[in-house]
Amino acid sequence: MSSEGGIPVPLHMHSCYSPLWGVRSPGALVERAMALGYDTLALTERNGLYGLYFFLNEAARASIHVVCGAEVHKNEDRALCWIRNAVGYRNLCHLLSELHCNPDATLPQLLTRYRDGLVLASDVPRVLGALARDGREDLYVEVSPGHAMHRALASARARNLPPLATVRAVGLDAADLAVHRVLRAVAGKTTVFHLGEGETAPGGDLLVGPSRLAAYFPHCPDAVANTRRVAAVCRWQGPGEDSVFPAYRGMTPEQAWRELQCRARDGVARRYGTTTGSVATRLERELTLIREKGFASYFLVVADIVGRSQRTCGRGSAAASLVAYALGITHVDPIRHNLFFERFLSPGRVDPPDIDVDFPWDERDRVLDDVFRVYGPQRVAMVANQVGFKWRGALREVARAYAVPEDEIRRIEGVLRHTPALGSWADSDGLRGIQATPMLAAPWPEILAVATQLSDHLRHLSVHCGGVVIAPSDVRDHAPVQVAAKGVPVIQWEKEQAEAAGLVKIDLLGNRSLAVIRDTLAAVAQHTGNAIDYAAWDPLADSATCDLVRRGATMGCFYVESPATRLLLQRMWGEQRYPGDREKDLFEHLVMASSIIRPAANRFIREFVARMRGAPWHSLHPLLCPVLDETYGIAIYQEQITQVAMALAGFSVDQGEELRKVLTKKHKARRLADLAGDFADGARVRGVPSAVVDEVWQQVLSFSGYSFCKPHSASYALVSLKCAYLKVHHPAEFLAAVLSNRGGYYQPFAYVSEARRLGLAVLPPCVNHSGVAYRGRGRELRVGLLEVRGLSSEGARRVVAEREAHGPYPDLSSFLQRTGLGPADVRMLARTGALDGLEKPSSRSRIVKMADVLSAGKDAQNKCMTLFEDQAPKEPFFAPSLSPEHLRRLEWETLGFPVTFHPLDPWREPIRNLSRRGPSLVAGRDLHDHVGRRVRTVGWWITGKVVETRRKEPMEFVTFEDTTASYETTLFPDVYQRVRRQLSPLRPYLLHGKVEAEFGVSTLTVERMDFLDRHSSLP
Amino acid sequence: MNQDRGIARDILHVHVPAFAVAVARMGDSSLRQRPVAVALPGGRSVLLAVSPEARQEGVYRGMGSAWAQRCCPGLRIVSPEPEATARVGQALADVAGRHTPLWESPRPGHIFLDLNGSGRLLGPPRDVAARVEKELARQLSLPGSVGVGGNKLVARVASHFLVDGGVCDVLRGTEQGFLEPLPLDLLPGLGEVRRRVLEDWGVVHIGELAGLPRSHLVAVFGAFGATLQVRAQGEDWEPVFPAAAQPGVEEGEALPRDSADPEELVFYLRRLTERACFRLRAADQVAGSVVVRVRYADGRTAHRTGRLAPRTSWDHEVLPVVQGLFIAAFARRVRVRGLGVGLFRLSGRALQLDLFRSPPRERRHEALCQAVDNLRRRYGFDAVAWGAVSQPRET
Repeated sequence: MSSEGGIPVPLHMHSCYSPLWGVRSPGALVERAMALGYDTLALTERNGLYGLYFFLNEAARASIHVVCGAEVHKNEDRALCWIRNAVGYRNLCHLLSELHCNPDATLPQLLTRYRDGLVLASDVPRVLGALARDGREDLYVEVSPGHAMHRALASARARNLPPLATVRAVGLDAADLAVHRVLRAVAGKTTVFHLGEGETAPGGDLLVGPSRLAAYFPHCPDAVANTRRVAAVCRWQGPGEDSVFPAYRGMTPEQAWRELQCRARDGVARRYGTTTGSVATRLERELTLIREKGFASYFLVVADIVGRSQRTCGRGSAAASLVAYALGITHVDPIRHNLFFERFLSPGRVDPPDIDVDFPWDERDRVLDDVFRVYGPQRVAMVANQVGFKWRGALREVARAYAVPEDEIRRIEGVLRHTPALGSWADSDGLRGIQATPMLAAPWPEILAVATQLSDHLRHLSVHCGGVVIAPSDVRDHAPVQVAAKGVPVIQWEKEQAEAAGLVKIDLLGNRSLAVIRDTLAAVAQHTGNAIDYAAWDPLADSATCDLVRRGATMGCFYVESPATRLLLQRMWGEQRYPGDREKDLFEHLVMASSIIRPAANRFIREFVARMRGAPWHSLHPLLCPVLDETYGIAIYQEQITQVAMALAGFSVDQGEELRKVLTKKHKARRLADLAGDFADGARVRGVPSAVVDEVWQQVLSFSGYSFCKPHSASYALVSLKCAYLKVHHPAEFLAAVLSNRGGYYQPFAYVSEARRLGLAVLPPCVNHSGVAYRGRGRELRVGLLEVRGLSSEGARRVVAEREAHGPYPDLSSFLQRTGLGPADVRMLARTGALDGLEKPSSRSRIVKMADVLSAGKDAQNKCMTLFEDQAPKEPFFAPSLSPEHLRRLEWETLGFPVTFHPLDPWREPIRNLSRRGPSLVAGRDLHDHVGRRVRTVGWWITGKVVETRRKEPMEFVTFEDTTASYETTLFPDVYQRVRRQLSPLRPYLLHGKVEAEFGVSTLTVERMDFLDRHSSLP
Repeated sequence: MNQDRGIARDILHVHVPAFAVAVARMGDSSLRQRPVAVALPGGRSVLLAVSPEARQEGVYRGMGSAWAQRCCPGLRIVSPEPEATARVGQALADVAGRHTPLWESPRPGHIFLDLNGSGRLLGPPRDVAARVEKELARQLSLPGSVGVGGNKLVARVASHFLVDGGVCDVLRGTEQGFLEPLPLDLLPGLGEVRRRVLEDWGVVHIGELAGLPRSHLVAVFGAFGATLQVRAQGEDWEPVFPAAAQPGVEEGEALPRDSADPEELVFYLRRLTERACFRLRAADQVAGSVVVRVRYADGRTAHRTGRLAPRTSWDHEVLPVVQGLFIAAFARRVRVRGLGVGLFRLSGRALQLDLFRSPPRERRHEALCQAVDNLRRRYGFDAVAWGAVSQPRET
């Protein structure tokens, strides 16, 4: 560092991680500071350290010296804090935490309490006075042009405190100020026209060069010189390398490791019976590595948390670990399924490992509560999500800040949707192209220009869905903590920065299918008396289960129920038999199937199926054989990226891992280009032809976005198979659990149809037979009261509880008496038909009328005490019966979908008439008999998935069903463009198209689509 | 107004179906003979009026506009035009006023005419109805139907009973027979929710409603249940209320371009205030309340009302109030398309001036105002303007 009087230091800088205040990314700030000739740069976000580690990273890359700190403000008070040392960092974390969590604390109080290790500056007299009384060391008066500089200087002289020059930069140039004003308008939910004077930074708050900075202060050069003095004492350049994690039950690392070793060996013995050589070797290798890295406590803590729940599913890369398997954290045998351990832990890997565990979704909150209780609320916090602007959100928010009405925003969004250059927001040529669109009158070009700059900006924090960090003593020693809207404590960083801060994250996630399995097993035990031993349960041994998976009849089965996966499974094992199909290992192939379905891999899927079904293929290069032969020479799993890079280009494990990680990141272009170079160079050295390198690199790139690692997919495949087993052997109980737990891939209606196709009788809700949840038993599926729209959950609970306590309801008045339900609840139950059995004659209209009149009468009685006992109307209840159509409508309206009939049932007659004229009308079940022909089908919309073609045109895969089967259709862009606005789950369709088959699986390529009710009307 | 039971009354109800749509079609012929609905812009707005063609497609009033568009891709949704609607509504009222002084327009597109005792002057009510219908079609090219009955209820049901215009005269004494076979939704005041409750009881026609045990209706719908039944039996004693007059001075303007710039908006606001005050002074009146209306670019409106105390007609006293109201009214993050200023609670100017008010400076201001008024009266309003009111710059 140069001597005093050298280059000044810009000490007050905001990046885009100052929520809705700063404009530029930390990288841009560092770059500009270097260009301007600074050797030291500070970052002071508002009330937080939101972007601290991104800044440290950028600074380290540019080798510029940093001063870290924060600008704290509360009400009228504000001050700047810079971190001198580790104590200061700790204190600043505590200060910020309290600023966010304690509404009563005043800023002067907090600053005096936590000023150790910090350098402070302020220009608010009240704050300065309080701090000066407490001590004058490391205290400055902030003097900035445009911020009442003369008053601050006078204040400094009066209190005899040193002045400190800053520019309070929110950005780098004048255009940034416009962005800043928009951000302030977004923050205040107002427009840039309404913004008052104090709400934005004044015009001069920009980063300027050193000489310009000095020139701002000709009358007090010491203020400028003092910036160097502050920078000189603030030596903190980031935390150490160590991971922050609590010791398990107060053990030393060595003790913890011994404990782990002991438990792991026990676990291996339990899992494998006898320990074979390969298992023992692997166990020792893992244990040694865990000891070296000091992660023993981590494993033990996670095992402890997992042990609190009966059914969990360790997922992610941790499933590759034998130790995790032995401890019961994961349930897939990593040896048998050849899982790549280095994906989880490797000697060179600096970041801590990451164990993700799924819990049944309704138990997860309890598990989190447990963690908070066991480790103490001080030591636990959740990881944050830093919520920013997606392009559409950015466009909307900026337009609102410019007072553009909503419909105009929507219209312009429509215009922009068809602009090809949309993907290249940051690209200024692309932007100019869009701005020149004739439909974009003022102020849209300006709005677009601002919106393009709002990608990284932090708007607010939300809670990461399951990430928990645990600290040895207090999380606030390591990270600022604030309270999220949900009420839980959350650190200011998302997982990347949390990792950089050394915090070890455990992901505790909710999973609905675990609850489905739990509920199904409970129902089966109750109905049949035979309980399935969960630990010893091997669904793979059951041929009917395997058959179901091979048929792709997996609707309702976790992870493999989407139409795309089901089609893939059918193609892999479809009706057309190939030699050796049966011998193919089902589990391995199921894992491959669930992993290959990812955004960028479409063109590899067909090749994969072809090879699996016997098409000849050869490895792209002999070096790849050991890595890719397992998956027919196609990279399917994430970790194969690492392995390919190691095998083909001679990358180390850690380089390979970096390549894998970079691919999943958002801002990867620069780093990826470097790695591509390394990859090509490495491969060339090993004599790999460049054509092969290109081909392999294309495969590597197909892992952009999301992709799966084999351990993760294998863990999930196990859950899928358990679901499949339950579906084969206990379909009623299983589908009841699927429907009750919600959150499947499909709408409830699709599962009800599936139940019908499986031969189950679907029964409507009934107050004497339904539970709150769906109930399945034998060949019957009874709809639960939870499905009755508008029925309060308390009402549903009361109906069931009262019946279980005192027996079934004999008639309507006893039902009203005993449950005490309000008219609103009774009205819905009556209309659904849930009260039908209570009165004779039981016409729906009569029941509805009685229920309405009697419950309203009761309600009035409850509200005002009357002299006369019973004021219920005495007139007899006559009611004309309702038309079948009316009854169908009632059911549809009150349940949201029809239960006792298929929506196409009323159309039987019109469909029959239709089949007498025109091209052949084919049932969904018979499509495969018409391969290659043009046909018509009748369909009810089930689900759809919009994708983009390689030419960026939207198209959709739609699942339809008729009364015989559900079938898949493809709407190519030209057709999709015409009909997309007509697709809805409310009307029957008449589809015209061509049946096409691939690997024996037929789908319908739609050429024309009409509403069935346009062609013919209901009788 | 005759409220005695025994005497037959003659009431006409003139109905222009989907009035807002009819108004929009007057201005844009491309909207004719196709599904059209009127709604405020924005996907979450609801349809305010639906053309018969749209209703046939399953679109109904109160439906979400985004959903309606999805269900009926051919539907054209247009924004409401309050000015045009008011103008056509006024023309409709003029037609009614030519036949009777006692008419009531409960909402746009509906007018009741009380023809009691005018038989000898105008002829039978049915003839009047035919004349009115003809005038609507010829003079305003509005489709309309006219119902004639012994009370407002029957007249109204009769006019709604006709789908494609025409005159429907319900003979006195046959009201119940007329109503019995009609579907429930023709009964005024029933409402969507109650109608569906009744339909679920199997009640589909007005006659069935008339025959229900009253206790059942009262238990479920409260006292209104009894009223409903009386209506279903064709009885209604409500008189035709004449339109109440509320005198006031209103000035409104559509801006040359949408703007959210407060400076620019205040410029127009000043001009409107000056105009309103000018008219007020010309009538020798003072106002006790002022209303500022803001119409946003998306068709929504907002207004704020304030008091003027003491009552006044001077620009410099009204303006600060108007500006304050404007700041309160302009609360949304949307550009403004039109502004309005209205002065109400008028009274004659007090001749006796306050002893302690009007210091010389104010008196000078008032004298200046009067001088400007004189100029404006002679040479037109725009002949002279305040120096502070400069035209906003064009960007």
